Amino acid sequence: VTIPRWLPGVPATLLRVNPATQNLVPFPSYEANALGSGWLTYVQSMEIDSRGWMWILEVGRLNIFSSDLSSIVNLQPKLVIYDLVQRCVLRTHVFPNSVFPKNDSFANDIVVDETRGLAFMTDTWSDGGIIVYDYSANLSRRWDRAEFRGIANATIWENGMAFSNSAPSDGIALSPDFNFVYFCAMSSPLLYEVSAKQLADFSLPNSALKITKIGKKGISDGMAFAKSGVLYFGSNEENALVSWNVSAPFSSATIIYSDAVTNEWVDTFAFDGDALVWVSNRLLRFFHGNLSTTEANFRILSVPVDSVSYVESGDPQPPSAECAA
Amino acid sequence: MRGLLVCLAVLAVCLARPRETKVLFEWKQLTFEGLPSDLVYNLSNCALAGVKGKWPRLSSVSSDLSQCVSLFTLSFSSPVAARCSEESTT
Repeated sequence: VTIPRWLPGVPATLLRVNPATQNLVPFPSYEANALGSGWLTYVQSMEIDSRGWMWILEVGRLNIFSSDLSSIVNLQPKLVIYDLVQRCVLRTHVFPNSVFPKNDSFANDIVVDETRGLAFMTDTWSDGGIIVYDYSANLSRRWDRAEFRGIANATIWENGMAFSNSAPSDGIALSPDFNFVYFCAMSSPLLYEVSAKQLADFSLPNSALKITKIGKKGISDGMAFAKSGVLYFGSNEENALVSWNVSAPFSSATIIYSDAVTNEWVDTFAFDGDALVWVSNRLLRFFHGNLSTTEANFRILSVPVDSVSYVESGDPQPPSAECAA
Repeated sequence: MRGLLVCLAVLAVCLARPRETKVLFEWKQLTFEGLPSDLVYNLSNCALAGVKGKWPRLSSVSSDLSQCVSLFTLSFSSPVAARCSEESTT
């Protein structure tokens, strides 16, 4: 799991849950997470592929919601690939400022095509963006399109709370055939589809990117594909988890779980074998300064879905790599 | 024939029903382990310091400094604890 360093004082940003104690344990170590000396600064998202490579997306920014402006730090965002088998860093790619501007970006979410060696990421800042990283070339590029923008001052309602925001491109998912990337802005109910092949073409101009509007899905944060071709996302104004089989019309999307208490703000997804796992975290209460002192605020839930993660469709290339020096 | 249709209808409803959803973990405030002992000590103090402010007393604050109960939250952190810990780590 990750803990954003949105405010000063978070001891670690990348952690694992000790199931015996429910305590959070810094991963891979406290030293790696230590501010100033560790190689992790602020991780918002990561993806683990089928060969056990963890693709760690570093925001690079610290304390962006602190009232003490002097505590805000903007470092260059980076992608760190960590091998869970060898327990070492394989590669660190520091994004050029033209790709992820350190003062004007939020490296939010990531999906990985391990076969082609590609990572697709969202920038949830300003007008938004999609960033692509090519492992073979060790290069990255940025896409800027109007579809990545959110809705200015959109009002989200959840459990009677209103929240006004303009957050752009946020949730991102990769189809199990690796041909299409789906994305959404947090302030918009719309779901979009774009060709992964086009995104991975570093010579293609922004204007040539063909983006298709799929439909109106409600307000979501993260999204995830199962190998079965089912896309999962939240409909957060309904405290709901929704599934849609992409081979069927979008109108067939169905709520598979809804609960106003346990499912308040569906955020991010993962898979545990054939179970879908996700975090609900009462995000709007945080923004209202109204997290509960007597109830659980943060949960990890699961539901069997008879399928595994989309990454299991891949044929990882290269199958392995040496640890970085 | 009618019985068969009823059975098929029931079967369809059962298949369409969502599988059992479980809450695997839940936190009011997050607890950590694997932190350096001096940081744990300071974080524990911070949690207690937070009691004086917005948050109620945490009955689960551990006296065992190998663990730490803090006001930090999954994805988000409490400004009260944040200030304390910032001081403790500098």
